[in-house]
Amino acid sequence: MAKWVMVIDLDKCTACQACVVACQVENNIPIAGPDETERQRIIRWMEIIPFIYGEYPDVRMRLLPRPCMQCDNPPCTKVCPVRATMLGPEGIVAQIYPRCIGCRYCTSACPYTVKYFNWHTPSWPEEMRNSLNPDVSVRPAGVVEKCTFCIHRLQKAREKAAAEGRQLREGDYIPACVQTCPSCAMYFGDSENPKSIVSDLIKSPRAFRLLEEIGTEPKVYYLSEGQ
Amino acid sequence: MEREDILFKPIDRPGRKFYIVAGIMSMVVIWAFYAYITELRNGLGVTGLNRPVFWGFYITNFVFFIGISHAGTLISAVLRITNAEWRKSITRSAEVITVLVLGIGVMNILMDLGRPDRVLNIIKYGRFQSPLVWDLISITTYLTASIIYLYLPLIPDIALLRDRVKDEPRKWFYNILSIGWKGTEEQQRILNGAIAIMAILVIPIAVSVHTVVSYVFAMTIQPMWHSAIFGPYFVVGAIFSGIAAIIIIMAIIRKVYHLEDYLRPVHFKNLGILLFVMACLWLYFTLNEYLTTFYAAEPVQMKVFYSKFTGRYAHLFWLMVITCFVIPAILLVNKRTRTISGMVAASISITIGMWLERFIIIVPSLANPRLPYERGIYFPTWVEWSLMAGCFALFALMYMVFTKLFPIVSVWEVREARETGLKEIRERVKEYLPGMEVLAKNIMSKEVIAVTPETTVEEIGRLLASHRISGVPVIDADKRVIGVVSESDVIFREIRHEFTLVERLGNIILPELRREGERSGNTAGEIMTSPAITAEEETSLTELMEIIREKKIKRIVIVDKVGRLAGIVSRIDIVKAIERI
Amino acid sequence: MALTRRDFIKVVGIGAFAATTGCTKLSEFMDEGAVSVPPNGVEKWIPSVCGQCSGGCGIIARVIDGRVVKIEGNPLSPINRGTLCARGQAGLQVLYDPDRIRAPLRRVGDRGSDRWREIGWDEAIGEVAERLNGIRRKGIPHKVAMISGSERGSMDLLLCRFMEALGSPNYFLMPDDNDDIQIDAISVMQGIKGRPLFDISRARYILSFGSPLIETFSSPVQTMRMYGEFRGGNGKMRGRLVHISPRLSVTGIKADRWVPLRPGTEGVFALGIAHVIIKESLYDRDFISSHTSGFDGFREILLKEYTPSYVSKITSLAEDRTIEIAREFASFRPSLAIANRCRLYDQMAIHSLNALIGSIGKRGGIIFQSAPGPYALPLSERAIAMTPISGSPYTLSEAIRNGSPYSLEALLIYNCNPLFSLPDMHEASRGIPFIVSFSPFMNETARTADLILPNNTYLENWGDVLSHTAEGTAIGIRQPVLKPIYRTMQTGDVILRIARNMGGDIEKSMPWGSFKDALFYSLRQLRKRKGEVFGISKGLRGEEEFLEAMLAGGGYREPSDYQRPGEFDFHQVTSPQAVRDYKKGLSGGDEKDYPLYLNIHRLSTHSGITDYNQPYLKESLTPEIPEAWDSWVEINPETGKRRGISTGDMVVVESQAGRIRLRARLYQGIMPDVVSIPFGLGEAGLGRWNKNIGVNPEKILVKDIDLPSGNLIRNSTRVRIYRADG
Repeated sequence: MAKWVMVIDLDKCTACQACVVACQVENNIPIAGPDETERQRIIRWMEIIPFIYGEYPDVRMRLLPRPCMQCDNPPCTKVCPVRATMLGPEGIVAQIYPRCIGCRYCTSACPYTVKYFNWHTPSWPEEMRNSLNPDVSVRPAGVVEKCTFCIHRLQKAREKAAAEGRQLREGDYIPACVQTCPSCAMYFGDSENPKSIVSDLIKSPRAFRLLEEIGTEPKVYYLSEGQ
Repeated sequence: MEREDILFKPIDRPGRKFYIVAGIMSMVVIWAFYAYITELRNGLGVTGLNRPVFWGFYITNFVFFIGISHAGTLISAVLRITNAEWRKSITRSAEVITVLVLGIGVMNILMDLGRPDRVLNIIKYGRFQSPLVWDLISITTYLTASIIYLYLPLIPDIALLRDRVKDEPRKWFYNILSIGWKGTEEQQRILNGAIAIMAILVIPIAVSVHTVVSYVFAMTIQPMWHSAIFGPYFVVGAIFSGIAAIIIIMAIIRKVYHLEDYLRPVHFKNLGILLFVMACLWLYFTLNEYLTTFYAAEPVQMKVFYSKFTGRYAHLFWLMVITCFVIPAILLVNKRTRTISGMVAASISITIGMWLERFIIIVPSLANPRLPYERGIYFPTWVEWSLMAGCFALFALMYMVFTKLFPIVSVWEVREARETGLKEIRERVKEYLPGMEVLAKNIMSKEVIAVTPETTVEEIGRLLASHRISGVPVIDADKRVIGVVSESDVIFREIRHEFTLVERLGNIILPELRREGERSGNTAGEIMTSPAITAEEETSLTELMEIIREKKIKRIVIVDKVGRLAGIVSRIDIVKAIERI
Repeated sequence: MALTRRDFIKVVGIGAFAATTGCTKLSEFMDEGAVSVPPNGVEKWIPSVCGQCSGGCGIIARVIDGRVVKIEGNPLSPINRGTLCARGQAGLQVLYDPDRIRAPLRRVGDRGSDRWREIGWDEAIGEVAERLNGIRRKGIPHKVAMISGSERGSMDLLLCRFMEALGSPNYFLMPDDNDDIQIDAISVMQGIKGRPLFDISRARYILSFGSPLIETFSSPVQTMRMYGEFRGGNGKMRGRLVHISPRLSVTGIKADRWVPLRPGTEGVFALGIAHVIIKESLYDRDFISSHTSGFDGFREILLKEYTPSYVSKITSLAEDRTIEIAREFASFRPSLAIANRCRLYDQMAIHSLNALIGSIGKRGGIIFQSAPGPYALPLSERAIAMTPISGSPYTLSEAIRNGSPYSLEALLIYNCNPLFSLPDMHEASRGIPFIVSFSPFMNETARTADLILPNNTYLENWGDVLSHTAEGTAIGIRQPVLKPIYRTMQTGDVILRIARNMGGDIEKSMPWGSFKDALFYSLRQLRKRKGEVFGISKGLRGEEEFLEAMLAGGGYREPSDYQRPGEFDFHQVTSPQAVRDYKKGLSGGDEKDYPLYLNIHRLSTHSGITDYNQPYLKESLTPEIPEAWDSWVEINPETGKRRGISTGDMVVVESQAGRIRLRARLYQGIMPDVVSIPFGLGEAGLGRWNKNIGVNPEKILVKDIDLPSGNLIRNSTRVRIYRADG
């Protein structure tokens, strides 16, 4: 069974936010608008969060692209009352939109705050509806959503591989954010496959995971800046 | 029974003010309903909630109302099990609170759901591992139990109403609800048994409810939520706020329904003591919670800690400390403010404080997530304020409706207390006081010189002198002791009357028992001290000694079960008895 | 009343039924107005070129039943190799912008009244042709000017040709924000006009003097890719980056070290570094002796004047800092010093560092490629006698306002927003009787036009973009990924139709039926060259097959001809004029009344050159500051505290040129005597996502044009700041 893992090399990352926008376009993320952004209702499955240490002039910052961590031990699925979020067989934490009752328990329980709630019925100007991705459903009001590692791409890649009568190959399936990364700072693959790049990278001494100490076992790894 | 009419007055003639208030409350409820429709149509975006403050007023209200619910049923059950006599006139008014606020608590969860239309998914796809499902199970159990527990003691009163009301629809209504209650001994036995079982059942359920509510937070790993103390902390807080709510509501119904005779200062005093105990417990838990956090000083926790102590939520936090502890402590400790109004003031303060406590637990933790996002800011919108007002109005309205339909003081229980209360208490006192193996009947002298009320003072004087005794009991034709004439009565023809402890207790519950002693005259009937200080044959030695010491008397008249003269115990009899032991 | 089991089941059943129906009804109520995704269909991937900036990234558009649902990078393009930046990803919001201009418009109210009437294309083109012909008949064709957004391809040549045919020298290219490098210094000192290429990926050490290196540098995606390689991609040794600027930008955050430096002292600081390098003999003797002149004079002045202690006094940086950086820069070769497009002499001082260590004309340094590109439209042979009205777009407004050397009769504006990004253009535009805009969006400039002939968006257009990479030159081919969705028309076609309408010489010199024909004309010439089509190395027969393959692959590439760098002239760096200028940067304005410097910084998501009615970009303006949509001013917490300003307060930033109101944001990454405002917002368009949102900080710039280069200096204005309510 594959175990999908994302690796983000912070040394190469330029914090350009291409991943942020690519994700929004790929996954039909509704437009928040200035007022709703001000009210912190904006949805960004992928987001860059700034850590700031110290004070001027000895100030250091770290910019961290933050998708869903796809924990192996997810605090969010544990609390869901209706099985609307669960750990999939290949380690991707899934959201079942038609089942979610919108209690926002998972959003409150997620230590990374990566889960988002649809405060309104998502709407697009008529013209922009044309740009919606038919592979991804539009979520109704009142349900929780989050990064899915673009799991619809996995399905398509599987179908394609099956049609071509072969196994899934490394690189067949990558999420939109990884695909677009201009500085090639993001890697994606199956860590169970010893030949994959990610299985190598996660052994790097630079590799770390966010809030590792709380035992959530994220499948998003970072490579720290510097040598 | 003219006295009881006051209990039926809200049902018979609630008065104009009742309808005016009910009208206002209904309007608030309708407004809140409009707010809810707005929320349904436009989504939860009409609230002030956001990311990361995903929970706000609704969940605060949920926890708050569920907390209040602990007042009624739990306290009533505890008092019932411990046989606290004084509970009888207050339990109903408390139990109603429970049933109503539980419903309102659950409503708040529905208001908070993004998809209330999918609420049945909890049954369809329910995950037993989710604390939210525990909540649901435990709250519905508690609600069911509370309804039954409210309903059972209501049955005899409903039967009273059934026999009382004249118009058909109401008769029909009460007839169904009274499920054929006739008040037979068998029915009474079954009822008492059922109530007793429910009283015992309800306590663990109640404790579980708020423990599980706390688990909603404690089972996550969020800063200052993930705390082992949360279960008991929440339960204590719940009982605390619940008692406060009872006091407020009792004071209101006492005032508006003129129940001063039933809801007496002693009720408030006793609840006040309980309230103060809970305040201390609350402070203790709060201290535990924050001190441990502060000492461990984990940065993530400290962010939340400081946002409460000095940051954005500091004013609410310190207001909570003041309203939950400082104000109540001052009011409850000070003798001059330990009045009904003082206690109501303390209770209002606590109610506000405990609401703030819920808010202070929920929002700052969410607003300060682990990762360095922008801090969450939360301001409730008109929708949330409206729905909160609606909850309170709905509570008031339903409470009023209840008082319109059923007596808010349990008529039959008060009646029963009046008839058997004193006896029961005496029985109970006997049960636990030591020295009960030496009984009056074993040491009394059975040959007693007694007089009738018609006996003249002169005759008595002769009797006293000739038998070298210091007093004689006065009996009527049935040999029932109606008084005692002592040397001093003869000499001063007057004696100051004092009540025994037992009488005192009895007087508090059944005030009409209190009677003045009779005064001077020429016959025994006129000068005797009445009622006589008597004790039953089964009275223990200890009790007898106590009576003699306290009353400063030389002998006690011993009577049998129906009050007939059986003997007399003098001080020397007691001395001899002690010698024997 | 007995309750049987059947009754009970009935009641429960009815209850359950009612609950289910109720819930269904409630669902319908709640989901009213919900959007459904259009159905899936036949999927096509069409290659084209991104148009969100001039970087020239190859894209492939995912088209399903005529709807474009995603843009990805074209993996065959050597520029971006399958990746794309945030702006590129947001391209669908350009195409499907609901506030696009959908047909030609004629203004019916006063300028700025925003009252328009839709007209037909024939009428619109006819009118422009007639007006231009009228001017031409009067013999004053030079009084027609055109401002064009930066274009690196045939469209630029077509417009240039049109203006030449018309007889006007006034064809202006908007300064390209992606050219934010020492391009002026390079052209002055080395006499090279082409685009220099900074070989970032092979450098081991980069000294960035306020350069927006990973924000909007050159061809941004390509630069970011090179940055990834610089940081140890491709198995290379990790390079080190030092960023020197008053503000901690994304480049500063990503740098190994950020050195806060007072605005205007970059040149002096660079000379201080040069002093250390010379003093410690760390420079590249071979390069200096073979490729430079004037070193001895330079050396003498430097050793005398720009000692670390002097530099420390000017810059308030510790002496050690200068020495340390100098040693690192000289020892980790190849290293690069990159300036932003500041004052010419500051650029020169910084660029001299590259010469000192010989990082010019070689791998890991600055590479020069042969220019112009490998193909071209034939230029018209008309000679134009008149001189242009202005030497630089930045001084255009002054010339127009003064009517000197002459006034303008007509202004054509293509693919840019000069009223937003050039100083004082608002006032200047009032004196121009006829303004034509080709903008597809109602931006600040279009709003003042008399006619708007809306262009297609780039996804509906033909075109080509020439770009350079370290490996060679690439031509990306832009082809429509779908038919125009409104009554808009590619401006290339419009220009050709205007030319036809005008007749005569102009028609003759613009002989193509459509812009596509013109484009194919020049593309066909590529076949004779040594390069290859994207993805295919050889084996193409015939012109048509070649063209087809180019369209299918997305472009054409060929290896570079490296140009020998011109001789580097040290003289100018320390000329008396230069020395005076270094000092000028230090003595800005009225220090007492305006105690702070205004810094204007770049956002990677908003260049400020094109239009941004693109909500995804407005939501994610920049990663280091959690602000979105609206403008803000960054203030050091210390400075804020002294003025009682905290984050979120509305403040006024005031200079001698004016004042603006915006939100304050305390930021540890800004020097205490500097405040910084992002550039690109407040474009005053009429789109729903840029109307009345943000402010343009250039509105309070005290106009400071660096005379030798014609650049607008954006960091010399002094301001004061106070709370809006007090």
